[in-house]
Amino acid sequence: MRNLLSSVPVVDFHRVHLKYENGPNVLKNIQFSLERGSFHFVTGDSGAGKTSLLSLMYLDQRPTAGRIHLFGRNLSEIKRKQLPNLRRRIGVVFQDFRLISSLNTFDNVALPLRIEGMKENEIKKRVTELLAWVGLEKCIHTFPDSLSGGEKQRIAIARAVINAPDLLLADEPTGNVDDAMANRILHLFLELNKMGTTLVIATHNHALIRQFKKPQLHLSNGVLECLPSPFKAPLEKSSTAPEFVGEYHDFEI
Amino acid sequence: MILKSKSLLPVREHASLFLSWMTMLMVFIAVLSLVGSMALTNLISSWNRSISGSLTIQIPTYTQQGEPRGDAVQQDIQKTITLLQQIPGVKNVSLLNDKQMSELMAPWLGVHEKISDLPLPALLDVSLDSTQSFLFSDLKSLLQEQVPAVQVDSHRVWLSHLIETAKAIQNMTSFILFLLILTTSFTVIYTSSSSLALQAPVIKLLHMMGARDSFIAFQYAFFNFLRALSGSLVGFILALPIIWIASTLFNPVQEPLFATAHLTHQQMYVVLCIPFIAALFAFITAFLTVLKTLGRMV
Ligand SMILES: Nc1ncnc2c1ncn2[C@@H]1O[C@H](COP(=O)(O)OP(=O)(O)OP(=O)(O)O)[C@@H](O)[C@H]1O
Ligand SMILES: [Mg+2]
Repeated sequence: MRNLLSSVPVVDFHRVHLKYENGPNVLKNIQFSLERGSFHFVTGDSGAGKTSLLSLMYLDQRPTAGRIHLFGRNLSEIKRKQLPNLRRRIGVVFQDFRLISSLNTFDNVALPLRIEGMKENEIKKRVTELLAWVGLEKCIHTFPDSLSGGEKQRIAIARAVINAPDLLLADEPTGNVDDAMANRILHLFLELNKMGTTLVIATHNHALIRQFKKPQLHLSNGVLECLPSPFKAPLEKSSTAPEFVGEYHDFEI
Repeated sequence: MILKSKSLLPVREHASLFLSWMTMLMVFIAVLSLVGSMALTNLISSWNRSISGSLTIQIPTYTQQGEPRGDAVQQDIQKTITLLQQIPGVKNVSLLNDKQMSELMAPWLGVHEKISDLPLPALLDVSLDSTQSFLFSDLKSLLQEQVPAVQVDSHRVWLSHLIETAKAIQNMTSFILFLLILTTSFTVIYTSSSSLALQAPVIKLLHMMGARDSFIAFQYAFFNFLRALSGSLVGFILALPIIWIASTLFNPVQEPLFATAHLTHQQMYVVLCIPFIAALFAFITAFLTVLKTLGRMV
């Protein structure tokens, strides 16, 4: 099945607009597609609409106009009953973490696996392994409220990647950790990427963008501009962004 | 899938504690009224058994002024027996002897050696042929006419009044049980849907992770189940001493007139099931309420 669909983009936006109830247009005429196994940074100033763009992909928001395909399926035509299976293929690191305060670290990370109905002993193995990897083995029984921002962020990341999703959407995943941990997390993402996970990471961290040399989806004033990976100077802004349809990873070095 | 006793959804302590207290009270009342109702059912059926096929006739041995009636008693007895034997439907008439009398009176008077010393009426036990229709009121008016001193079967009349009362009490307990079920379901529905509104962020998160409505509803309902179960077990245990006290209070008046009000084994099993049924009920109601509420969410 996956092989058959491998030519279909994982994410495909066609003239997508987003406007919150009584605000201005946050996203205007967004058009792009992401191939399976691609790796993109989403950049832009604060308030540019990065989180909004991701939230369209994790189905928190619905576009005001335009159409979105995920894994080849038109979101506006999908039935409510079919959503869970689609959503299980998407891992999300929220900018505000969204950990469940009544569950400890282990249970928070185990949640996607439990939702899938995985066996407890398998869950235990996987979760302990991953928590050790992100350096949280000693916080395994701690509840979110007594953890630092960086620790919470790592839990949020562990929860997003625990079931090796096909599409990983991370919103500022390194905002609260030091550079060494940020690097470690990015390497974890790279590992997943090598195994076929499509990655979209919203970040302000220019050091990371420079270091990992991946193409960018750059938002400014709600308009998408394509930026190739850094060091391909001069950065060329696509002034005709609204009409632009492109496979941005073509710009990869 | 079950997260043991941990709750996925952040729980409002007071709302879930409210459920525990509520089920405790409900089960307490339910157990008491059900046991009472079952005992009454047993009592009614044994009374019914005791009054069908027989009746009792009293011949006073003292006048209303308290003087012994002497030979008039024996005359009345003979006359009544003769009259009764002529009535179709009467199978057998016999005068109760002292031993039978003292047995009958034991619950009220204790075991009395000299029952004949007491100002008790003479009693005629009349057994009836249940296959023949028999008009009690006809018999009563006939005897009253011929032997005015005689009193027909006051305990039969009295018992039939008691049965009426008992049945009314029974209807009332059924109504109470019905009200209990109604109140409990409203409580569960209200607490689940009101706390769901507060848990919208977590539910949204679970949905985004690909959780199905049934998964979320199960988590929620299972937590409700545990709360309700702990409450209802406490309510059940609290009801036990009261049942015990009531049963010892009623015991002396049981034999022989009252036959038995004791619960059968089947009835006891039913009572034992109440706390679990209540908890299961809380589970199912919460599950369906949450499922319905989630279905309206996007
Ligand atoms: N739920 C909402 N309702 C109304 N307006 C919103 C909502 N969420 C975001 N916005 C507005 O949309 C715009 C884009 O917000 P968004 O969160 O997408 O920005 P961002 O690029 O993620 O910013 P940051 O880098 O600070 O996280 C902002 O002007 C914000 O005020
Ligand atoms: Mg944001």
